[in-house]
Amino acid sequence: MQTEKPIDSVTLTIINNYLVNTCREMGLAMMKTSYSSIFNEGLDFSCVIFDRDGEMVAYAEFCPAQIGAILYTMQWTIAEIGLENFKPGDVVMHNDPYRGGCHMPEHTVIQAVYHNGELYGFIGNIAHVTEIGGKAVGGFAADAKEVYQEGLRLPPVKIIREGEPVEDIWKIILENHRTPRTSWGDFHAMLGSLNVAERRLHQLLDRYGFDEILTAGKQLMDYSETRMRAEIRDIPNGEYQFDDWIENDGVVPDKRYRINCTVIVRDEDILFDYTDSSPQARGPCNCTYGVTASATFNAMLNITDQTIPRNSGCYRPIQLIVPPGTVVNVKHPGPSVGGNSEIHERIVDVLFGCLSYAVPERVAAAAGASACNFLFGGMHPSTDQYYANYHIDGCGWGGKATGDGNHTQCPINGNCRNTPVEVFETRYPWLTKTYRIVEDSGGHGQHRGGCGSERVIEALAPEITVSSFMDRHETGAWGLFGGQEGASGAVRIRKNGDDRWRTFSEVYGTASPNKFADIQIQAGDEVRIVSPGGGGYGPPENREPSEVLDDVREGLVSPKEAQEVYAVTLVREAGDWRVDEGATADLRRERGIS
Amino acid sequence: MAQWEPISDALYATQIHHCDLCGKMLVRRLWRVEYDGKSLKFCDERCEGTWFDYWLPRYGEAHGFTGNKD
Repeated sequence: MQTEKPIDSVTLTIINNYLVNTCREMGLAMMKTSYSSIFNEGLDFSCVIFDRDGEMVAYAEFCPAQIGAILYTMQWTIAEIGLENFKPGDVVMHNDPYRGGCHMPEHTVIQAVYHNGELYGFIGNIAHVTEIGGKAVGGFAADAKEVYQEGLRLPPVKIIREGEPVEDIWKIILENHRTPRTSWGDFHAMLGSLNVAERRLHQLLDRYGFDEILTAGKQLMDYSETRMRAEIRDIPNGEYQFDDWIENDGVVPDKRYRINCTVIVRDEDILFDYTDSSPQARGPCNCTYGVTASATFNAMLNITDQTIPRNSGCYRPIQLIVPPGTVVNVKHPGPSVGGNSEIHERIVDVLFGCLSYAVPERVAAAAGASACNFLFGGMHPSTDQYYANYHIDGCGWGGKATGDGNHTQCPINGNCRNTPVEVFETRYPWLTKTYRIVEDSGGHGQHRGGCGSERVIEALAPEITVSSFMDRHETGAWGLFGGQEGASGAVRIRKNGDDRWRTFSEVYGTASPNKFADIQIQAGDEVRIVSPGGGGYGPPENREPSEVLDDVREGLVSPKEAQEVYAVTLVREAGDWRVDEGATADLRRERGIS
Repeated sequence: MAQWEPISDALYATQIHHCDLCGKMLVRRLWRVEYDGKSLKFCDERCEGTWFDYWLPRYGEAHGFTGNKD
């Protein structure tokens, strides 16, 4: 029986912090005990606690790409299996993209928590498993035409039944992965995090009482809803529309796909309508419902107060219309592996574009919005064992009213860390020859877009199989309010002995130059990955000359662009740059800049 | 006419049922609505209401009654 008595705000804050920190501790357990670098370096996972009504009461801020997906994978799995069919010690796993998941590599585990025989709720996590079988090593078939090519698809199944592993299920899963030992390690890291959460929840329930904690969860969600509604009331009522385009789907050459959203704000409610987006693509640039929901929630959480507790209450005022059969809600058997990693951030950009008309001070210009997904694997020459890796690179983020965009940072959906060069070279047969920020790649503006990066790696193994899923290689990230476009990205190959960089389409005949799978390269071949820069915010001529000077000193802006775009003349003296005040004043007068 | 309808598929029937308004997966049961000779399925009365009040006047028949773009 839940108590009706309101809990005081101090106790409520303590309980909320305890629940959130439990989710964070789950993540740390996964980081410290997992085998793959996308887990222990990238932190590509999320951890949650649900109450027994299937409402999310706490979440740790690891990977925003999963915040909507895990909400639905948990709720729909509990509904599909049925509350009555959960027993103490059961753990359910699934990775079905059509059942709320982000894409096939993302696996969810769910466990019911019983305290003194009574169901409190559920704990779970969702994480990107590096290798799941299918046609491409690394589970990222960028030219897949259907879900069956993307790896082993698991509907919700019990992998632990009343505390005992269901060995038949484990055998089926591991037999279908190319790197089963890594999968085994990562899955057990996920299970270990559930043990951590279960232990912590029992301690909390013992200390405060079962009814008190259930009530606290409800009150926290009501509080978050109230605060989110107040935030929405601050957005002017109206209808705001924006769109952006995916450059190709990896299958059909030169065909673009539209992401369109109409945002309707009515007092304290907000509706996101994606009806006018393109029909779903043949290739895997499609998003699942979970991805589009995550991107929508992600955008809202980015423009609202960061101190609102993250739980189901935040999402109550938000309504979505995401028609199935579109590029933002793929239907079976459409492929979707690239939708999560590459298109989520494009959806966030579209929503920032919509909201730039209403709350320009809260949004950012478009980001480079590419995780530069690069997958590779094969037989490791040192171990003679199969290996696989999911490599990501950061891009430039968009400038915003309050400052410049971040440089070379994992897109807004991932929040993942990059893998240090030392770890990368120790684990995988590559030599990193270049890793640097690209000058002038951030869109110029009063608040400059962040710069992208360039990475050149040389294959050291006799043969490596590579795949890629990247975008923003034709048009750069758009700027806002006079800010300029960021530089676009690229992925190129230079075969051993060749004297120039070429696209993979030129060398291997792939349908897309930036989305391809299963290409065998040889020792001595080099791959060059250039990540896109972010768009600028505000006219470049409004940027302070002292800031332009700092940019040039740091190698972010060239002296030539400083002169031509920012109207700031710099001179180099005694090994350093300084602003030539007189020449700058003349130049600005000449161009009519006050 | 509108009513709750259980979802009961055979083990080999692997299709996912989606709400004709919001696109969410429908689990265990759906809210069935008959309108103008069409049979529509929704999450609940809230989605039905939004479909009649917002979606139908805005997009209507031009989109074949749902946003589904098969």
